[in-house]
This record gives sequence, C-alpha cells and structure tokens, in this order.
Amino acid sequence: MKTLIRKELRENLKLAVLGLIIYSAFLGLNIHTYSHWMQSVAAGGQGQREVAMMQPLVSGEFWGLSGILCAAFGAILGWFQIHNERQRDLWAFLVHRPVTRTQIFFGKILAGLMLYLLVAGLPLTGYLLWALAPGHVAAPFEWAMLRPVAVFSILGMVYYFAGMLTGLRQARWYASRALGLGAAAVVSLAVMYSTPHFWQALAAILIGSGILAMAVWGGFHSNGFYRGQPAPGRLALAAALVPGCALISFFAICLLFKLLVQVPEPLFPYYRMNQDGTIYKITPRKEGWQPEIADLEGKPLVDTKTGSAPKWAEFDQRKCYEDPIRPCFDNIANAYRDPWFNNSCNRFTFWRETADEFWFYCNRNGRLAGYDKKTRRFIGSLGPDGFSKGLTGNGDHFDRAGFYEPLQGVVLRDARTVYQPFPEQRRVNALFTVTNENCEAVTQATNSSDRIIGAVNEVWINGYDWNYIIVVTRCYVHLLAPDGKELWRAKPAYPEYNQVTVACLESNNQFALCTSPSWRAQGKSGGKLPEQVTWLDRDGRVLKSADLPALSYHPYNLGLAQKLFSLSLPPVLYVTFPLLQGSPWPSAIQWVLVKYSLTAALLCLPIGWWLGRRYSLPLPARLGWAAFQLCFGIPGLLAQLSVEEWPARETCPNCKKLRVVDREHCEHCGGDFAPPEKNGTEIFVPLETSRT
Amino acid sequence: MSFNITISTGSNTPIYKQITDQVWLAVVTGKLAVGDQLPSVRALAEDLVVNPNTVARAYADLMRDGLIESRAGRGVFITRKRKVFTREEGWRRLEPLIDAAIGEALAMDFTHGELREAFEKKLGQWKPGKGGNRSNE
Amino acid sequence: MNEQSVICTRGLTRYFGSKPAVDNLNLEVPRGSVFAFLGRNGSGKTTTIRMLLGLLEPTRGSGTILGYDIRALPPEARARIGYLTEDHQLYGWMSVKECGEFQSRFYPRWNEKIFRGVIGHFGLKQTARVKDLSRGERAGLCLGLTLAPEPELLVLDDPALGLDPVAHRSLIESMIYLTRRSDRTIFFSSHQLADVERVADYIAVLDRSVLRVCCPLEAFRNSVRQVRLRFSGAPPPMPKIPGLLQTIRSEGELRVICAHYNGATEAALRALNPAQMEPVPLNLEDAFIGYLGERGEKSFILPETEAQP
Repeated sequence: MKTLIRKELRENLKLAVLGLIIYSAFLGLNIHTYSHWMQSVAAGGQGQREVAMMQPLVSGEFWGLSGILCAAFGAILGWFQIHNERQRDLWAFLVHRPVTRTQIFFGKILAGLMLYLLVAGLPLTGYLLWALAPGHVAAPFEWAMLRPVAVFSILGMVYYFAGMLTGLRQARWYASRALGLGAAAVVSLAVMYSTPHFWQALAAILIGSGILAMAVWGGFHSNGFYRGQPAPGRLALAAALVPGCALISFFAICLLFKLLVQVPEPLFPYYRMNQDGTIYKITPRKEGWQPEIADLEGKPLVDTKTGSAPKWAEFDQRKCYEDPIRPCFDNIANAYRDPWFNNSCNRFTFWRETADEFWFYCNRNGRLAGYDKKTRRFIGSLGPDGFSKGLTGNGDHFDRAGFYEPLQGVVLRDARTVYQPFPEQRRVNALFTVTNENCEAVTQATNSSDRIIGAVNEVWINGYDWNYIIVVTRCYVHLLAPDGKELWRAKPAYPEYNQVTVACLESNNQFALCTSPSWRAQGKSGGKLPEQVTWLDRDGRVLKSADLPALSYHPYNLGLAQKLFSLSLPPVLYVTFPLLQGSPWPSAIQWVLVKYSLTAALLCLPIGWWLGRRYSLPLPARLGWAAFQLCFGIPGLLAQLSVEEWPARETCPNCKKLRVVDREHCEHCGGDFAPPEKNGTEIFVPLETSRT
Repeated sequence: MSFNITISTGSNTPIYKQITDQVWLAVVTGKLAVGDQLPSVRALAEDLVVNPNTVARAYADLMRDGLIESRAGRGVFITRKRKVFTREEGWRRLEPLIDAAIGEALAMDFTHGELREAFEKKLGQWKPGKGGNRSNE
Repeated sequence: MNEQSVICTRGLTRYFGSKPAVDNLNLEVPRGSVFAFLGRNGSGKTTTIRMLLGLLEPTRGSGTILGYDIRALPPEARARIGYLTEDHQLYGWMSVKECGEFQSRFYPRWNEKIFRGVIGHFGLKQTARVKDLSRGERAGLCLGLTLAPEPELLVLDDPALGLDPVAHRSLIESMIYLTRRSDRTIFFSSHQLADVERVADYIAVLDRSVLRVCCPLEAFRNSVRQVRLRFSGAPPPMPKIPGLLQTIRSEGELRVICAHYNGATEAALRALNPAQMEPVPLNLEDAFIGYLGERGEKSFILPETEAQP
C-alpha cells in the first residue's frame, strides 16, 4: 500500500501546491489588509469599528472564506484522484493487481487526506503564528475563537469524500452524481446552525465523513455502480444521497409554495405612545395600506383639520423617545447560552476607542482590555477595582451587557454598583450603589454576589441632554444624572415583568414607565397579564397609572410554510432535532410536524414497494427500501430513484408476462432463459487440450 | 543447409500444409537429402512466428507419410521414403493433382498432344527411382 | 466445469439498457491453449473480457477464471492473471523505470529480466516519460509490465490495435515465446486475422452478442467452404440449405459459402443441376468475412444496357 500512497502523493502534488499557493495568498492578503487598516487607524483614520475588522480571527470573511477554500480544495482533490483514472483502461490497470479494493481505497484516501491536511493546515498555522505573536493584532485572543476556522478546515474532509463520490459514481446525469456534495452542504449547515455544542459539530463532521467514505469504499468495489458492492456500501450510498435529495425536495416545495400560495403576513396590533403621553392602538393593514390608528377605547383617530385619518408619516413623527430595557437577575451563564458557533465569535465586544488605544469588553473575565493602536500590544485591563496590568485583575469584573443594553455604554455595572470607566486616566469611578436605603432586596439577599441591578441604559432627556442613566434594580427603576445623582425612582411590578421601557415625554416634561410581562409568564397565564403604564412627573411622583390589555403575546402557531417543509424533509430529522437542541417548540407543535413528515413518508412507501415489485427486487431489498423510506420520506424515495439500477424487462415466452433479465429464472413461472435462437450456422467442436 | 521455409498468412492453404508442402518439395527437388536434419518444433515455430502446435501437426503429417523420423535426443531427420501407401491410396492422392494439371492446360487451350509432349519432356529431366532427385543438367 | 479450463462461463449475460451486449455465453478455454476471441466491433468482446476480470458486473449467469468466481476475484487470482488493455493506458507522468518499479512492488513473482528484455526489445529508454512514448512503445511497456510477473493466464484485449509492423511482430513473438511453458494460457481478442492464423489453437466467434463458433482453428477452416456452380442459363433461385452463409449471383454462376459443408450440403447443391460444380479455396479472412458478413444473397448482374440507336 505504501507504493499506492506514494504514487497518489506524486500524482496530485501539483494540485496540492496550487491549493497551498492560493490559500497562502488569501491569508497573506488578510494579514496585509489588517495591517494596512491598523496603520491607518494609528495615524488617526476614522471608519468602522467592528469586532470582525479588529480581530480577523473571528471575522466572517476569515473563517467563511477559509471554509469555502478548504471545501473547494477538498472536493476538487477528491474528484481529481478519481479523475486521474477516468480512462476505463487506466482504472482497470489500477484495479487489476493483487491487492484488495479496500487497500486501493485506503491508499488513495490516506494520500489525499495527507495532502489536504498539509494544504489546509500549513498556511493556517503560519497565519495563527502571526496572529498570536504579541504586537501584531490589537485585540483580545482566546483559544475558543479558533473553533470556527478549525471546524471549517476539518469540514473540508467531508467535501473531499463527497468530491470523490461525485467522480466515482456511474450515473447517467452528472447532476445525480453531484448529490453527494449536497450531503457535504447539509453537514456544513448543521455545523453552523443545528449543533449547539462543539462536540456535536465534530460528531456531525465525523458521521458525515464516515457515511461518505463508506459510500466511496463501496464504489471502489463495484467500479462506481450501485449493484455489485457490499451491503454497507449500498446503504451508505443511499444515505449519502438523502441530504442532497432533501435539499432538492425542500427547494421544490419552496418554489411551489412561492408560486402557488399567497400567505398574508400576520398583522398584529401594538401600542404607540406619543410625545405627550397619549397611548394609541395601531393595527397594521396589508402592504401599501396605512395602519389603523385608534385610541384606547377603540375610536379611530380623526385629524381635526381634514376630518379623516391622519397621514401615517406625520403621525409617526410624533412618537416619543423611549428606551427599552430587559433586566436580567439570573446567573449570567444561564442567560447567555449561545450555540458554540456564535459563542466562539462573540468572545468580546468593542467598547470604546481613545486617541491612542482600543478598549474591548472581554466576556470571559468581565473586564475592559486595552490595546495600544501603534504598538498593538496589550496595555492592561480595567475592572471595578481599577486598572491592572494583567487580564484578570483580582477577579473583579463588570457584568456582561444584556439585551438592549448598549455595548459601548458610558457606564458599566456589576451586581450592585454602576461604574463609569475613564480609560485614558486608567481609573474607574463608582457612580451609584444599591444599599439598604435605596433597595429592600439588599437585605433580603442571601448571597453577596446576588444581582440586585438588572440593567442599565442611557437615555436622552429633552431630546438633547444625554448620558442620563436608567438603572433597573429588583425594587425600583432609578433615573440618574450624568454625575450619578438620583433624580427619581419608581416601583414597577416584577419579576414576572422583564421588559421595562422608559419614555421621555418632551412636550410636558414627564416620564412614562411601561412594563411588559415575560414570554414565559404570559404563556402560563394564557396571554392575560396586562401591560402596565405609569406616568411620572419630573421628580418621580406618580401622576397616573393604567393597565393595558396585552397585545403583543401570540402563542406560537405553525404556519402553512412549516407544514409544507415538514412534508419535504425526513421524519428522522424531526425526531432527532429536538434531542440536539432541546426543542424550540412546544412538544404539541413538534408532534404535528412529525405527523406531517410521517404522512409523506407513508405515502412514499407504496411507490417504493411498487417499484420493487415491478423490477422484482428480492424481498430483503424491498423491505430495506421500505424501512429506508419510512425514515427518510420523500428524500428517501428520490434517493432510491437516483441510486437503483433498474434491470431491463423482457417478455417471457412461457407465461407471456414481463420479467426482469437479472434473474436466472422467470420470477412468475420459473422458466429458464432460453438460449438465443440458433440459425443453423453454429460451429461447435468439443475442445480437447492437445499440446505436444 | 540452404533450405528455408517461408509461410504466408492469408493464403488458401493452411499454414501446416504450407510447411509440409515445402518440405515435400524440398525433398523432391533435392534441396533436402536423406539424413538432413530439420529444426525442432519449437525452433521452427519461433523462427516462423507460428504456434508450435501448427509445426507439430505438420511434422506429425510428415512422419505419418514416412518422410521424416524423430531420433530420440537428437532431433528430426529426413528418412528414406518407406512405402506407406498402397497403390490405390497412392493413385487416390495422385489423381486430383493430374486432374488439376490437365484441367489448367486444357483451359489454356493446349492440345492433348502438346500436353503429352510436355509430360515426356519433364519426365526425361527427372531421374526415376526412390526419392526422385532431379538430375543436374 | 472442467478442471482443465482456465476460463469457464455459464450463461454469462450483460445488458446495457434493454439490449444484451453479451447473451448467454457458454465458453470454456482449455489450459495451455492460445485462444482467439473474435467478432465484429460492438459484438461484445470487450464487455466479456471486462466481466471475466471482475471489472463489470454480469446481469445474469456465472463464470470462473482459474477456478475463482468472477464476481469475487481475490488478490491471489489477480496475481496469476495478466491483463493488457487495448489502449495501453498508463500514467503519463511516470517514467519507464518508475512504471517498472511501481508494478514490481505489487507482485511477489516479478522477473526483472523479462521486463528488461521486453523493454530492450522495443527500444525504450528507462528515463522516457510515458506521455512522450508512441503508441507502439507504450504497447511494449505495457507488455513488459504484464509479462514480468509471469502470469499463468494472459488476457489481451485487441493487443495489436494501432501498432506499427515492427511492434506488431514483437507482440506476436512474445506470445509465441509464452507458449514455451505448457501451463500458460493466452486468451486474446483481435481483428488481425493474420495473427489468429499464426498463433491461435482455438477460436470463438461472437456474432452480435451471441457465441456462434467455438472450435479449433482448423475445424473452422474445414467447416466453412465455398463452392462455385456454373449454369448454362440463368442460375435458379437458391433454396434454403442448412448452414448457408452467403450466395453471390453473377452471370451464369452462383458462388455459395456454407458452414458445415458435408455430403448433404453437396447433394442439395447438385440438385440444382449445375453444369459445373467446383470448390473454391477460401483463406481464413474470406471464411471469416463470409461467416460474419451480411447473410443472404448478393447480386452482381448488371442491368440491361439501353438499346443502341
């Protein structure tokens, strides 16, 4: 086998070198772009400050294009290794030697995978060495950030086997050959979107490569045909084509859906507060139509001047300024359960830049990390206790910004205090602290690290004063002036309520505080919990309060689209999907989708069975296909149609029925296949060996 | 030995017959004498680039006709012609050849008399007796 | 299945689409023979060879090669079979020396002398790249690679295709050389009837996917005969005679090519009352063309010329 490996390495070296050059060029370009950008930033350039730009390792361009290059190279390499012996006689030359087909298979793939690892790994290693060396990238680094690019590099293995399968399969249409690539595409999608844990992504890649590799192995045994390979190969081939067929049936149904069905957008009404504090109920109508505007009693609003409904554009301008906040009192780790993919890319956020420095918020240690723009070196970190040269300080940290909290806010907070960092001065100012006096919950707190503060936000007062601060604690909502002095506090009703909106009513110098219930609480009560609105004057005294019936709760409903998609996708998907993610839908909904999918599968069963009978497949094969279609539905049927090589049929002279030609005897009457007719000119002489 | 066998493919005569005919002709015209050695089956086969079975068959026919014999360990040699044919058998072999010659001649409009003359002339050139060697003139 | 057969098939059939390329083939190739496999283009010869070597799955039927089932040839079977394809395809980037090294590592019984001998005979340089070789040189290289492991059975698919006369002669000489050992068998398909005439012990003929001839070469030549019937007037229409292959009609005569020429055939022809009936010798090529050509009657009677003014 070593000879085979050596021959394969030598044969595909040129392609590998080409891949190496292209990938290195791409990564080199990446380095150059970043350095060029950093130099312009250091010289005082303005422009976008995105995390993706500042830490190239997490940018979609980097891992996305890397992934595409690796996938393309993998597929091309796999295809080429088969294409090298595209001449049938050359394939015969390779295969007719005293080694098993399995050994030839391993010879090829070991060489191919070696080349692939070299081409995918070498430039990447060089790039990482550059990125990790201090003084090159002015942004925080964590090893977890490498997960996306690592996974995408390994993903190329799946494309490698898919490319090989494409080259190997003897199928009438080239498109049918390329179905293997569909499997690779589905694995890519699964890895990005459907595997919450990192190990699941690796498992998906392993399973995908395993199935495709097994299909290729079987193809080596049968020279690319379906018949003639051992049973595991046939099963793997059919399974490998299912994702591609699922994509086809999915897109077909999408197309049909788009063309035939016009499903109107659901139109849900909502509340709108104007700058004078009046609340209106807005009901959107079909596209192109102006929404309905009514007051709380249901009376439609009428413009006094025109006598009919006011123009929407005009009405919209009178909207009040409001800032929504979602306080969170849970453990942060529970609150932020990102799938591994998002998690890897969101290890830090850009907080602020000064004239010479970048400052980032690192999720892991909850501190602000500073990098010098010119030297691109780490300066130190800021925490509630102040500046420290290391990354962790003495364990003091700010809480991570939640939903609707600004990422680049002036203030940061931890469990009990709101801070204002001054990075140029390397110090942090404590602006506001919850104590026994301003919050009863402090005394009730059992643990000193219990979060009392749920969220902070910045608001604009009067349309032009900014940097006023809203702090939501377990007891009150506080409004603070930029220097930290409390202006007022108000008491909403929670913890069932997790949406707090503070509106600044310019026209009459008032504030309005609206609280809405959480999705879960609404679900439990069946959508009955009201939204609370409290109007406050400048000093925080309650002027008025009202309960509005909830409008924004809508129980999850399955749309027609989802039902149709479930017809086109395999039942086995709907059964295993929730096991991976913990179902995003209630189990009742899940069951409906499973039922739709199973119905489609059960409809495919008779078709598959009929085909089996028509072409007289042996009973184990028919049962196998039936089980296959039960698991995979319409894609399973399509896979069977792509993969099976249907035998020809002829009329039996005995029983006059059509019979298949690949059996020794007629399946209806048991008659033999008659030898072809003699025409009287045959010359047959019994052979004897006669050598002197 | 100045005797060479050549065979040609695409002829009406099978290859083994070409070999036997050429050996016969050589013996009859004196190119091969009694006691001369012929190449072995394998050597002749490789020389002529034909299947050894073909050469073997030719040699078997010649041996059956008594023209050659195989001496163990030493090879194949021309031998004294033994009388293997009965007179009838001999005539049976001769008749078609005479028919062919006469047929050709008459087709070319030679008369009986001319034909008889030609025969007498030829017979004069050939010495009668065993082996029938052509006299040198 | 005879133990003396190196290749034995039973009802071997292969369909492409709805038509059979090989239909119910029952073939036995004796050990130690040189067996020629003939037929027109597209009659199924290459398909048969591919099936025998496990490169194509039969639709129906079975076969053994060297005693092994053709559907599951183990590596030790392949070590004993040499296969030369008609295109003489090799890896273009390899040199002659690398080809030899590549091949030799797979076969335990590799005879380097034979390989060098064949290479030298064809005049190949060790450092020449395969893609720079001419077709004849490539054929020589392939032949060397195939003969060096000293296979028991040599399967050649149209080996002389496209070869120049010198390379062609070398190929035939190699085949004769191989027959030195009586346990070596050669199974080859060819269109070169001159080669068949030289080297074949037995022939088999595929006529449009059906095996119609399987016999020693001489038996074929003896069986197919041509007879000329001269008539004083216009020749009568030809009746159905068993074994009739072709009839050629011209002014005052009929030429008939028949298989299984025997007393009954002769009697049937005499029954037509010809003025003269004589055999016309056939060489192998004409016999073969007569056998595989268009059955039926051909007429060479010129149409009546128009009356002169």
